[in-house]
Amino acid sequence: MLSRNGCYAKTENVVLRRFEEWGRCYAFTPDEPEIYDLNTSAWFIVELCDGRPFQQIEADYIATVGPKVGRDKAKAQFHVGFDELLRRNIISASE
Amino acid sequence: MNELVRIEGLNGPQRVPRLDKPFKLTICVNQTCSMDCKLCYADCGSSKRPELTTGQWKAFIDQLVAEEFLHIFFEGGEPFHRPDFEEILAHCNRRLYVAVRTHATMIDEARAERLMKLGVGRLYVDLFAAIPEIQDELTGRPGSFDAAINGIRNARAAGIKVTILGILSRKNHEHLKRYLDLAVELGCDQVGILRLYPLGRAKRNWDELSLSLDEMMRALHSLRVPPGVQLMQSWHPRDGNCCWQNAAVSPQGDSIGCPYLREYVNYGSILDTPFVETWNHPLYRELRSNSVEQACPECSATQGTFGGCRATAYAFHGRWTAPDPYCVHNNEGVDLRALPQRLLRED
Repeated sequence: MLSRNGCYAKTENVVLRRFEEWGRCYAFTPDEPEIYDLNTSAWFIVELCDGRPFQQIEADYIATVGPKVGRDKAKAQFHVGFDELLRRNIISASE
Repeated sequence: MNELVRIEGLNGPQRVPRLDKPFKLTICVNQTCSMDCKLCYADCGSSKRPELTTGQWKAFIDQLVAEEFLHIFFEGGEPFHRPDFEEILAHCNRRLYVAVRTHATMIDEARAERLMKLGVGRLYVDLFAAIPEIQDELTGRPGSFDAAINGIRNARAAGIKVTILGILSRKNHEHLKRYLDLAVELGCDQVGILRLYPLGRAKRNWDELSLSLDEMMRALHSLRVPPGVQLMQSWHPRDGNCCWQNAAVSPQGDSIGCPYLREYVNYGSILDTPFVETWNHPLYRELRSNSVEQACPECSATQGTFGGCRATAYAFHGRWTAPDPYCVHNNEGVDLRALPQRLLRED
């Protein structure tokens, strides 16, 4: 089970290109040069990572997505997405 | 220009968006090379118009960054034949994802290390054949195969990802498996088998190089892809119409949509027109509209686009809305070994 303290934000030099009408967002990670095609769930998590605490990010995600897919599924979805984004250095711990 | 032919149901909801501006672009940075390849689409050395200067390319790259482009794909000629190419790469560093198509013969250990530091995400290395003698014959340069393999090894040792590209032709269709073996041997995670386009010297050498569609499909179907290697190919059922997102600029600064359209279109010069304005050229908009006379349902399902490649459709039919004859369901009896006289006259 994921348990994190601290605040999280989009990694400073990561570049996002958003396609609202397409429901898609691409992320470029210059430190490990790669382009990632973010699904809507991952995209939403990145947008929530604006320096707020982990617990808040998780709660805000579940509050928005939970009513559509169910709280447990939203929570599981969030943890998978958050971990993957962290692993790819698209988001990182902030001050 | 032909009037668009719309078929009921074919131009309905699309899976690809209509972009206000693209997010990736190919820069054909030069039209020079140290080799004399029989398949050279750029016809290196043939243009009398000046190529863009270092400063002009840098200014263009600044424009792309300001326009929120994410991805630049460099090709030539041979990009490393241009003395300022690393300076141009350095200007992109960390602002854009950068990939480079190259023959890799000029990538020694020191350059590979520099490219890694410059943030090059991937090299796409052309091997016209995976057998030394045939590659050397096709490049007109003895030792070019070994030099390319060394270049790949240097890139991999420096940690750069490499895709090996093979243009499917009469010279390699019987040994395609060797490309996959090479990928495993050299630690490359991708192999791209590409179609032969009737452009540049490849057009002039068409009789010697081209295959029938049956021969192509037999060669592709014979492949067994090893674990850890991804095979990219654009024949049925993956014949996509990439125009919706494609953008490219020639060495002279012309907006040409796609490197494979380089002999057919010119949407304007980036020297006197902002790139995004060329993106709205009427023909460019038409090619991005996915409006075609017929489409293969299976290719449409896998690609989310209609009609397949517009460059080969236009080359063989002379109509922008024509079916792409490289798809088995859209071929309609076109013999891909025989180029239309129209193309040869334009040469």
